[in-house]
Amino acid sequence: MRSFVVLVTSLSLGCAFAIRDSERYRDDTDLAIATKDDAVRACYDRELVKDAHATGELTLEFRVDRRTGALTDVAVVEDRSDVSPILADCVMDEIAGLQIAPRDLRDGKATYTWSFRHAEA
Amino acid sequence: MKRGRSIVVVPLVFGVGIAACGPVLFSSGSDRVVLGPPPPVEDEGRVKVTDEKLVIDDKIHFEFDSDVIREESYDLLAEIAGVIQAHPELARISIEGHASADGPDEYNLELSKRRAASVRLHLVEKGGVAESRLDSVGFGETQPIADNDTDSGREKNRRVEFMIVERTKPGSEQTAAAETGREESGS
Repeated sequence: MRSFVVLVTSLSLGCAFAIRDSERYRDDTDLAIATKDDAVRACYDRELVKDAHATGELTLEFRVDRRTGALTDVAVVEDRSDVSPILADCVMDEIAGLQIAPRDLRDGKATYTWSFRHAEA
Repeated sequence: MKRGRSIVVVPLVFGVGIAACGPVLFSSGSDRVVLGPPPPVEDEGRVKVTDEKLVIDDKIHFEFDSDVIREESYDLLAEIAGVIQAHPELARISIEGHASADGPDEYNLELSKRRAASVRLHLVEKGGVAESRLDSVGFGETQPIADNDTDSGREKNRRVEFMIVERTKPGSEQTAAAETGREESGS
């Protein structure tokens, strides 16, 4: 009982953190990434200006830093990506630095895939 | 005293224990789909070369009762010029103007001639086609392809056609191209 009180006290002193399972980690990361949906779409729009037929997939790996909750070490999974380097870089720039809150006691290691397609005519 | 020590140790052990575990692995449940606009329709071109003629999947528009080509047809004419340039084996093309039955025969004949000549001039001056490859002729209302009693029929009859009257033999296009170049430089 007392240990619980101490834990709660430490939380109230600004040490808020979560202990997520993989599903919760994914849900919270989804929310953070969703804030960049428009920006990622803009990346694709710029790609389409250069190549009106551009489609493809981009898979990124990244780490969610337990100390900050930030998405870091973002990298392209080459064998699962076939978009142009420019589009890949654009998306990486948008994703890197996003944060989930509260931070977790453990790092997250994630793999996310974006599929860039044309809408049906 | 003993109880106080456990208060400090328990959360410390708890935190260290959690942190010592490996990272939580996870991935996007499904691909995040980013939709762009529908792909552009491939422009297959409005001008096709057949054995007898250039088939134009559009129409050259003129100002009313005039041989002045409307600007909206400039792209089409540029396309026609491009196709002619891309086919040096088409040594001679007859640009043929036709009119509907509206108005006097003689007037329609003259108007169709002037319109055909106007197209020829445009293809030469703006499209860079050698003059020697193009003739122009007007047929007035003598060769209708549709019913002159209806608006749509008369609209179809008002037309310009591109008939192939001379073709170089396969393999001798070089001659036609060389001839074209000579005439272009001389004009």
